[in-house]
Amino acid sequence: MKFSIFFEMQIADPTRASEVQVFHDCVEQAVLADQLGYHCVWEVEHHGLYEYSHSSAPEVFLAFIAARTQKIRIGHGVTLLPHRYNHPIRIAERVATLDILSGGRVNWGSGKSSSLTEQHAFESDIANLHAQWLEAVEMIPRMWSADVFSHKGKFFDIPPTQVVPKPVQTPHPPMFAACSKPDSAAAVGRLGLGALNFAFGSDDYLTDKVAEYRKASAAAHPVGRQKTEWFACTPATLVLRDDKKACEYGMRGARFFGSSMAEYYFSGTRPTGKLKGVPRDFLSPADLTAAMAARNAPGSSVATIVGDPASARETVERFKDAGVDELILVMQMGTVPHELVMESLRTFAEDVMPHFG
Amino acid sequence: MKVVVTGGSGQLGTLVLRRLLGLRKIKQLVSLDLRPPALAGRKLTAIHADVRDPAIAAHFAGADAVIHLAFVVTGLLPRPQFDAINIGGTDNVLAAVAAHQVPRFIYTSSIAAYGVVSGHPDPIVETTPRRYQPEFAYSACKYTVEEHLDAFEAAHPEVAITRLRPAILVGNHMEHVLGDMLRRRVLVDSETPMPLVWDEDVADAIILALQAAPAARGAFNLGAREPASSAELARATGLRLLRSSPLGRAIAARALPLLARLGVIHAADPAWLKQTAARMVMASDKARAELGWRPRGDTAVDVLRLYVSEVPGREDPRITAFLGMVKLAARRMPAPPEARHMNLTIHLVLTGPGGGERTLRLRDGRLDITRGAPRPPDSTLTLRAQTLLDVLAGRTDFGTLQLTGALRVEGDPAAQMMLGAIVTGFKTQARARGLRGQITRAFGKWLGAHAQPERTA
Repeated sequence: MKFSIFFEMQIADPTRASEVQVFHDCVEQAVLADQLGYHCVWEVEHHGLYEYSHSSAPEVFLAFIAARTQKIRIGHGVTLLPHRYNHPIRIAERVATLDILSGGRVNWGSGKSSSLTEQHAFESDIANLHAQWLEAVEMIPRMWSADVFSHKGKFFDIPPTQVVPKPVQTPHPPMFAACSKPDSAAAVGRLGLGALNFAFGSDDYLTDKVAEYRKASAAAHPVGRQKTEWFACTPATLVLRDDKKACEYGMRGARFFGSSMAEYYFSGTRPTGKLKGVPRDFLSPADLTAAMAARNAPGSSVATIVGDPASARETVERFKDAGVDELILVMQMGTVPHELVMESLRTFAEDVMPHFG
Repeated sequence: MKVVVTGGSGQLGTLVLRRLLGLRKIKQLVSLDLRPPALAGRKLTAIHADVRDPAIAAHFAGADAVIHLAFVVTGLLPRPQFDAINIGGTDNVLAAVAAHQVPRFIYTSSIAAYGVVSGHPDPIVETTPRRYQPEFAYSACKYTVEEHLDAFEAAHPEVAITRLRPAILVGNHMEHVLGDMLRRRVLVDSETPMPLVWDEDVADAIILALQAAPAARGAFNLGAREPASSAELARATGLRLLRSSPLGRAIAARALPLLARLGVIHAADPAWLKQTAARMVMASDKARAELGWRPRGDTAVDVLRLYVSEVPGREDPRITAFLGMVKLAARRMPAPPEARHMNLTIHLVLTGPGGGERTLRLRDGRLDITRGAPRPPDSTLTLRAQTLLDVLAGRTDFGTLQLTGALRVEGDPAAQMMLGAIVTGFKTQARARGLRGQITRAFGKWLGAHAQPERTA
């Protein structure tokens, strides 16, 4: 099993100064993760999701990280493909450049965006986001392998063009896709793509989802030149030796993460300003006690890895039993102080990772 | 681990399936029942089956344990059919257990296996002689099945048999007259103490028996301590006491089948009503000591207090209004693009005072809400009615419910997103400017008003 880290670049109640600070903090966290032997740094692309995600230019951040690190893989989790966000040629060029500069360390994931905030901001045609994604995800690997690329499709009519540079990984960087909807993992598997999933639901549900994904992947018609069969989950995580402290900060962070996401994805509106209805304070003592007891209890969801190393190992074991290949740990959650993320990175690497080597 | 449950769709079966779904070491779960199950889970295979059908044996292959719950408790079936299901069905299940060498067999017998007759010692323990009561079909069946178990146990010592002998199960979804009464917050007056047990506690005992190492062989009584008369129970729990005379009960016994046929009450076996005179006090110390059974309904009063606090009586009008409003809003609003291809049948269970049950059906992104429970659902969402009101009033938030387990989910986890979207949508409306926001805010204020104390008397 592989362990990676995930950046939304969350900031609770940002100021100009704290926004700057978060970017520098994330660099520090990524550099530490590289030293500690984490597998990959994944970063999202979102636009205008104030507080929830300030990560709008991942290609810049990831290039910076590539320069500062040695071994850790550099992951786009994910690039938005509807062409109002990114023209497919620009993606092929940027990912290939990043692959060259990082020494072939790029993992490339793609998605179609699902919040009204970004869809409206870029005036995307919401009705055919999936079709846009599908056409681009098939074009990009061809741009990497064909000396002269041309394309005639629903959205693009591109005359013979030499898309340069080419990536250093052969045939091209491994390809992944976001599964925002619960049933989309199998659809991603059918295209021969690795699956990047939110973590939620019971153990048997996750087990089944992994199995369905693998079945689809086994019979895949890959859109790339190679198939990537890989199932990753992104649990909210904070692991400290002090169980109670980990839960105080980790549960508050996980709640901020989930609640701020709900404001952008489930409210049916495009919120602006400081998010209302997102709790930022610690859980009440009674709620904290209940939340601590609910971890790994029978019937619990396998979603968050919050607590001391023993509790974390139990939850990781559940993901492993379900057949998950990689955990992309979301430690950088709004309200969680940078120092605790650093401590959590170390604790997890020392006391949890070795058990799943 | 593979577990087969017979009767998994009933009152107790549903509670047992819920626990088994939550146990991670159980990888395969088969439920045999004539009704579809009330729960969903990816490892659950629900088979439409009759316990009398020899073909069910095929489902026992590779099973590590069989939990046999299928039994007709009340009803107006002709006696031969009643016996064929209860006794013949059990024999058929036992044959399948033997054929596939299932090492563990857990059977829910009953206090009635001792015979609902007077003259029992106080208390009844597991070694108390059982007495055959031919005129009371239920009791006679439980007695005969235990006899058959004795014979099977001797012939198949390799099968560890656990016999649980619960008192009268009290809980949600009781499909008999006591349930019909309690739903109306009424107890029928009777001088003899009623032997009671909280149904969730019986489900817990079944799981304890399943997990016992070494296997828990033999019989275990399951009943609340300190049995009390109806009058005492009513006094302690605020339930209304319905006075009745022997003559009244005799009339009721004749009237009940008619009321049942008219659909006013559940199918009632008049034989049950004649059994109130027998004094049966059962000791469950063995289950406590050997299974580690710690019932929440420790005493009879606790059992009824649990009933009052857990089982919805009349639905809170604020819940009715809120769900009605969501239904109206869903009809008018277009499906969000993310949900456009979603098909999901959700069973929303609001427990505790003021609660109720709804079916939330999402078809191609369109939501419809109807009363009652879908069978089978894609997922079940369980939370207290008061908790939903607290979320809507801002006293707690949806994220906290998910982290603390105050919201339980079985089956497809997308149901959580659905409920989250309903709550977030409502709260967003309440922040909106203009008339619509004002109306939603006023409505929210009314929803958030502190709960009226449950009217019980």
